Amino acid sequence: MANEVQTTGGGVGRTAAEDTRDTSSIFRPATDIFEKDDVVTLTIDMPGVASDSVDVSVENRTLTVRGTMEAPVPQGYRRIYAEYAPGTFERAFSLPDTLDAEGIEASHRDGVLTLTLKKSEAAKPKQIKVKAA
Amino acid sequence: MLTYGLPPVQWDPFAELRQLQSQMNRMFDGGGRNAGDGVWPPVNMWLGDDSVVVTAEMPGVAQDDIDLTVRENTLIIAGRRNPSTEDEEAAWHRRERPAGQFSRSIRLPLRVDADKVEARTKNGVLEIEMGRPDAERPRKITVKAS
Repeated sequence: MANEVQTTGGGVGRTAAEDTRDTSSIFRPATDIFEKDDVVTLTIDMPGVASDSVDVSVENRTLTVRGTMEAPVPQGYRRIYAEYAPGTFERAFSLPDTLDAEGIEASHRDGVLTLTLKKSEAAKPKQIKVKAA
Repeated sequence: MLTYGLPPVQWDPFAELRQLQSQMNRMFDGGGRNAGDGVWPPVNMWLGDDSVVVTAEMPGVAQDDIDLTVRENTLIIAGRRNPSTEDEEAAWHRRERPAGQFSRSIRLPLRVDADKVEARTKNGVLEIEMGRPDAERPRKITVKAS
């Protein structure tokens, strides 16, 4: 069982020492971050992670996302080639003071986690009226 | 083209150099922003008795945007991956996710019947199950005692 993975000609196959059921690997998910008006959006790739196993937390202005892949082995099949491995996606982002840590909205679709953060009231540009003396 | 199992009969040292060069280029490109380099999406392959399964990690690609072609022992996964935003006024802080048109050709270890292909996506992982044509299934032959 542990020996079922063969190294491929391209050298991308995993070695036999790594087991299919090994989920201890931690990956840094690819992330896009963009800003528009008062909203900062994070788009995080988490393929194979079910929506209910995505974990988003904020502690000391550090935003952490985490999710473990579900990688069932197809019944009656053996793996002959591998370019990606099962594991856990984890990544932390530090939130600047200008972002509101309370109002984070998260959604998950097609293996992509989307977080929207709003700029805090204090960081929004303010118009100051000049009073006539 | 994806190879599996034994390395090709003729070893081309320049192919490895070209591969290294493209890997270096990608390193200095500031991340794989372009999905159209022929190596996206990453795939795993599984072999059964009369069928083969290919799984591909393609988060953010809707089922309708995936175009599959199967011919003999070649599978082509093509489609388009939309960027996180197409708003030109948005300011980017980080851009790591590949986007755009992609097409990847994968050589399968057996010839498959186009009528025996089943594909589904779940949480951004595509799974394609392909069966061998009936005529090519290995047959059991009973040895009769004389």
